[in-house]
Amino acid sequence: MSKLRTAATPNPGGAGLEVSLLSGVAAFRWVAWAWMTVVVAVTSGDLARPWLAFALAGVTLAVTAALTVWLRPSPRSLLGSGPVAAELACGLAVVVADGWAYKSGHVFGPSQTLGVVWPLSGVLMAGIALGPLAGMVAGAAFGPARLFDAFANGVHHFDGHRVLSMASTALVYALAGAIVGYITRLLRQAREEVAAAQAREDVARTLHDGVLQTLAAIERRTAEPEIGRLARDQERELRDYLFSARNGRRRAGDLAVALHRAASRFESTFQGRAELLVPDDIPRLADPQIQALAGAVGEALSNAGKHGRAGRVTIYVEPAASGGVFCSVKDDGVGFDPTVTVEGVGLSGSVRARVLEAGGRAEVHSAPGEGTEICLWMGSA
Amino acid sequence: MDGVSVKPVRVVLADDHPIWRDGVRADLAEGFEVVGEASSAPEAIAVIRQAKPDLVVCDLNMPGGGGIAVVRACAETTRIVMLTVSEAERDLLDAVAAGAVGYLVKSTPGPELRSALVQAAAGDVVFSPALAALVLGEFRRLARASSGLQPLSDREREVLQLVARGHTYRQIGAELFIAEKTVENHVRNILGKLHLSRRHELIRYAIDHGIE
Repeated sequence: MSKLRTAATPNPGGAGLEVSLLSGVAAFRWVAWAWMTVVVAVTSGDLARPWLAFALAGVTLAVTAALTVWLRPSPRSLLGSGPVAAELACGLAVVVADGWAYKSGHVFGPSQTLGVVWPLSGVLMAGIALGPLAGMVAGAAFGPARLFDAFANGVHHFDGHRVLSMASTALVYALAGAIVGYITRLLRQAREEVAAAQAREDVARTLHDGVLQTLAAIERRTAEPEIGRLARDQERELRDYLFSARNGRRRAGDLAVALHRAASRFESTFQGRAELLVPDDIPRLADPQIQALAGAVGEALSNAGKHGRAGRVTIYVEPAASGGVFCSVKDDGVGFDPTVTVEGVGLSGSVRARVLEAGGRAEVHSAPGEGTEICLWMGSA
Repeated sequence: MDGVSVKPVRVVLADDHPIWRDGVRADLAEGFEVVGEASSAPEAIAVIRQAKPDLVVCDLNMPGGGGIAVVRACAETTRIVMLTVSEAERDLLDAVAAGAVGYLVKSTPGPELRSALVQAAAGDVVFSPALAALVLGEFRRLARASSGLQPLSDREREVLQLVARGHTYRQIGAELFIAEKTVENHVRNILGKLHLSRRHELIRYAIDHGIE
């Protein structure tokens, strides 16, 4: 970690997701093509123009193979609107030509036709490459395509069942295109979020390893108090930033952030050091409880700085045995004798009142020369 | 620690930032003798084996496996204090669990650094509130994992919590009506339990996952 690491580019153009999706569609095309050959073989007795059926199988084989081969060298180019439109057109053509290949009446008959499954790949591609809306439109286009399919098949009379059949094709294809497009969009968003989080983490690490080290070194080695103070301020600000950049993943986030702010305020106001110790496994508190607790800690800190003349404060948080949160604020200040000193207004008024109001409780321990400790409990009893 | 012997504490400094070694060396001008320096884990291990120091001050983040590699290789025979820029690191607890006798944050002021290192060289554990808090969290985690390992006794937990809250050993002794030495013994035992628990956990993990 000696050198500043160049923040690794999170590879926004990373094609891993696209390659996986396209590989899936490529596999789909092969399975669909195999299905087409099975259908052609089984329905061969029903073919009016067998040569056309073989030609369609040949063309779709060529497209399937070409798109598979193309995937390796340049997966991104397959996502252009050109290739997608071409594949879609090819699929629509297969659906229409299918009617011409079979004897009249076959397309609404009880048996399968060859152009049912394979054309779906174009719809999937439209969804993946151009989004859910494009996928839906592409899918819906197969409704009219089936109408022309019927005309080509010599069917000119449409009863309710036939209209329903065509409508259901349009609906299913449109849904497939829309859903694939939607899922792809979600996956892309997730990938971008992960990349952004990684970039943040990289920046944080670089700052942490390099800049924080340097600031700490300056702070310790300089003979100029002013320079030392500057370095200390910058170090604190950087820590604050790193802390808030990272706390997104902490369950204790809100409370930790609120306490961190209070600690920072103490450090900049009184030039002392506040150590904040918040573990990850503390129970979640309601917002008013967090505010009350952080407010009480803030009061305790300013009391430590103002009256206790403390240079060092430790703020410690842990899950309380009673189920809520325990928090202590201990300073190394002058302390006071609770038996003769009336508790300062800050202590009794602000600290106690704040936590009591939110359903918590507070204890104050102090002795002359031993500093002061304030113990707070908040949350379920 | 007023009774420090005239013989200086022999220290090895391991940190990949030369500026840091310079800084710590300057702080250790009196009462210490820097007998070796290293800027990577393998180098540190070699220097420690050759120089046999009383104490090693070792950066947590170093090339070649980090401070934890140094601890794993040398903690059996040498007392090692970790140096770190911040406490928010999982590695820190790993380093202590692997046998380091404590750690210090790099912004610790000179006098405090010296007294902590003198203490460490004298055989004490450098147990800051932050480390105590980390260890408490670790034992809570172990308890939740119901690993059936030695939990802390009530007294040990009490002592550890007071350390985490920022009380000194002297204050803890006074509050619990025990001698300061007894407090130190508790802290040492707690660290021993942590080492043991970690080892057990590693073994359990290895068995559960079929690793030889």
